[in-house]
Amino acid sequence: MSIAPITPPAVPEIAGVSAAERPAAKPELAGSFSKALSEAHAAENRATDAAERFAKGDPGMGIHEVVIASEKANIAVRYATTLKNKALEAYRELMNTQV
Amino acid sequence: MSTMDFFTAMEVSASGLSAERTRMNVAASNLANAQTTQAAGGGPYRRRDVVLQSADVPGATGTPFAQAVRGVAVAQIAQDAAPPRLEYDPGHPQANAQGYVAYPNVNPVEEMVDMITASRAYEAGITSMTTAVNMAERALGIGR
Amino acid sequence: MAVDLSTVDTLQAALTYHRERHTVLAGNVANLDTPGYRPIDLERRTASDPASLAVTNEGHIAAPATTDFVTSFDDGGALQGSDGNAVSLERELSKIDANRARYATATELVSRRLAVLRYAAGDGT
Repeated sequence: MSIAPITPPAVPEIAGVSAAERPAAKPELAGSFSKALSEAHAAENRATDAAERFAKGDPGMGIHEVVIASEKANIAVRYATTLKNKALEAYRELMNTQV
Repeated sequence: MSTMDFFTAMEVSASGLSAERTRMNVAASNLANAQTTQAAGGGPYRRRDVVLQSADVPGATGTPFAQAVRGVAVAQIAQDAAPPRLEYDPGHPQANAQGYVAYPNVNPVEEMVDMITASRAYEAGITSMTTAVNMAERALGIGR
Repeated sequence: MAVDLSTVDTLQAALTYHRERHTVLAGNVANLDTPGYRPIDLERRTASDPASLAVTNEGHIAAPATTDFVTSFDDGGALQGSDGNAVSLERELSKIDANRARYATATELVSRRLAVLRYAAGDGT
């Protein structure tokens, strides 16, 4: 699955505030989200692989390994979802502040 | 990374249980036949002995620490080569020309000791198997 | 990743060590009556220890670089029986139980750590 990174909308010039002083929060959030998403993807793959190996009786894949892999993937997906929600929230908030 | 899951540990314990059960059976058989002057094949019953040997466990071979995994197996059930016990009893139907009866080379006290040690080892094997099961259950409960 | 999983990885390594040690100790119990058998145990050495890859007994293949475990002979000074068997049942059972307790503690710590991470990942929800 691939999701295009969220590009921040152009911020209109606000009188009295120079470009350098404007906070750069949104580009950072987009970068974090993209990174978190690919890590979630990787963690999900590892968990699926672990479950398959366990199901096939691979002696190198033990109970705690497969359970922990699954839990890590859950956390990774949860984290990516949280960032996605934050990004969307920030975007919506911005879109609602038209002058 | 990991080399063996709990199933390997359980196989190890199972091999011990199986070996000790064989020891108990053989000791019981020796005891039951302690006075058997005429066994099948002629002559008195001959005491049997269980020879144990450490062994590889299926599923562990080929893994990096396979040589650290030691199960046990019955190498053979040997006949004790000690000569039969002779008792002077000329009136006995199996007495030989000199009046001696050949009794099995079984010492009941020794057999009882073997049964007790085998039983103790069997219980220890149960404890170790149960521990593996408990640990596996704890692992399954991670994150719950 | 902003969610720090390093503690989980450390605990997972501990879980693996204790599980494999149980297998080795179970082998000692299984060989309680094997003539000439000497009990073994599994030691944990850190990767920075230069001796960690040393051969510890004849015929033993050197530990692969991916693990920190090294097996060792350990008869604990037990008196050898007349058949050369050096296993002390009490000692092995006591080790098995201590090892089990450590495994249980580690699973509990992992669960608690994961719960915190889950909470943090969900931003308090």
